[in-house]
Amino acid sequence: MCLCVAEGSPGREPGSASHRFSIEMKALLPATCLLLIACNALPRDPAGTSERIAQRHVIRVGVAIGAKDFGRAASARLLDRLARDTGARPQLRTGATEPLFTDLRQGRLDMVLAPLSPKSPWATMVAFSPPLATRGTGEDQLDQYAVLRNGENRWIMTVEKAARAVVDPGAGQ
Amino acid sequence: MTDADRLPPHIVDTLRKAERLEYWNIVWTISIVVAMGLVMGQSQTMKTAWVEDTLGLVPPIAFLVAARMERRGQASVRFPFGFERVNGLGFFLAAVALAATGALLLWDSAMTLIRAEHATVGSVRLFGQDIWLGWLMLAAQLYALIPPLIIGRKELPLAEALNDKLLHTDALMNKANWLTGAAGIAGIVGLGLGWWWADSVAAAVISVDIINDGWKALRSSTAELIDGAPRGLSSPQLSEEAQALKSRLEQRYAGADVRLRETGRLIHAEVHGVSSPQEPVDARAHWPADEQRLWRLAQLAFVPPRRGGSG
Repeated sequence: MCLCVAEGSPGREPGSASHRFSIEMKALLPATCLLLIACNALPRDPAGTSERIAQRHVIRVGVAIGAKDFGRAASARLLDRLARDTGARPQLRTGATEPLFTDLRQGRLDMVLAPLSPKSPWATMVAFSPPLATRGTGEDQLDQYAVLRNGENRWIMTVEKAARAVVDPGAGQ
Repeated sequence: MTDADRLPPHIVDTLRKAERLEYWNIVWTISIVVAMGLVMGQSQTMKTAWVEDTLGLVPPIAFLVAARMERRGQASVRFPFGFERVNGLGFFLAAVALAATGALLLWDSAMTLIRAEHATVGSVRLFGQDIWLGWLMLAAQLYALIPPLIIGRKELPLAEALNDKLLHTDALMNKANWLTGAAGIAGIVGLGLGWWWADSVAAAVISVDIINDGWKALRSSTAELIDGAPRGLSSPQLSEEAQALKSRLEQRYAGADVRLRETGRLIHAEVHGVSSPQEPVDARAHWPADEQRLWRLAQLAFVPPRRGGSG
């Protein structure tokens, strides 16, 4: 390897600064290789949402009973897109927002589709996708979101990517 | 006459060099604060690192204010002793900032672990690609490592030459910043691997070291503010140089009560119970350490015994 140090080379005595530098460089090389390999592997989900979806081919989706048909078309497009990207079938369950969020946080759902204010207090307890549809402005603004369990970063990234493609079809190509 | 006028030219030059370094320190720190702020996301570790980097501005600003007042501040009716002690006040502020940084980091890490919070780090669309925000955070943290690592190392010899505890504390703050950056990198990689606890554990371990440095600096700075005996540059132990001076004065003025205190980088000696010598005092003859550092002895005062009382 090009980083090998020739014995007795001037200034590379054990303990010298250049010797230490050489050792650090040797340690850095495998670390860099690992990092490059990790580029595709990261991020992973602590609770294994993406792996479970890939194994069982099912996405458990909660649909909040919301404001009539608001966001329904965009949500349907998102589910189609996710089904294509993951090869999994969405399994829908409707209900009130809060019980669905509780199930999401407990790992009984993978995603909840809900109309929410961007300033919703839930924003710190769960993760919101980019808005799928928007209605109103300012204090009255309501967005349709795909809401995800905090920390499931691979799954969050997958849904975010799909949501961007749905909102701006040209961007995801 | 300013306080700096009493310092030898090479010390004034070193002071100016330290000021220039601190201006660079502020510029780089602001750039780090902006870079970290842009990619912070919801990561608690990134938020803590951002707060810490912002707190890192306190010591260089305090140093620049103190150095400016030392170099330009004239003794006046309102401030007859000049501004020597501004450095001590700045040292105290920097020590508080350092200790607060460590405490904040420890609190934050402990809370994240106790609540088992899983940090969300999503993605951004950049140049038509969806990129995990963690990669940008890693880039920002790597960038945030370099300036404090270099500036901190450059500050240490200047702090020693100037005997400047404020500058020394800033070097410690820089060390705290790059250590936190390293913990942040480990934490984000850990988050990426699905180990939600990794960043908090790394940050907690490092916070203990920062709190230790902050606590030592707080002890020294409060000692200086309440006229304690001069402390060492990097520890709350009594300064060896000052202790040698005390011994020399006690030998020379047997039976006298010798009291030393510190104002910024300068030592003031009071010899109680001895009348002032008739001849001008040769400071060199009283200074036991390297003559190059004689400038530290700013004052040698004699307090004669009081008639009918103790001196």
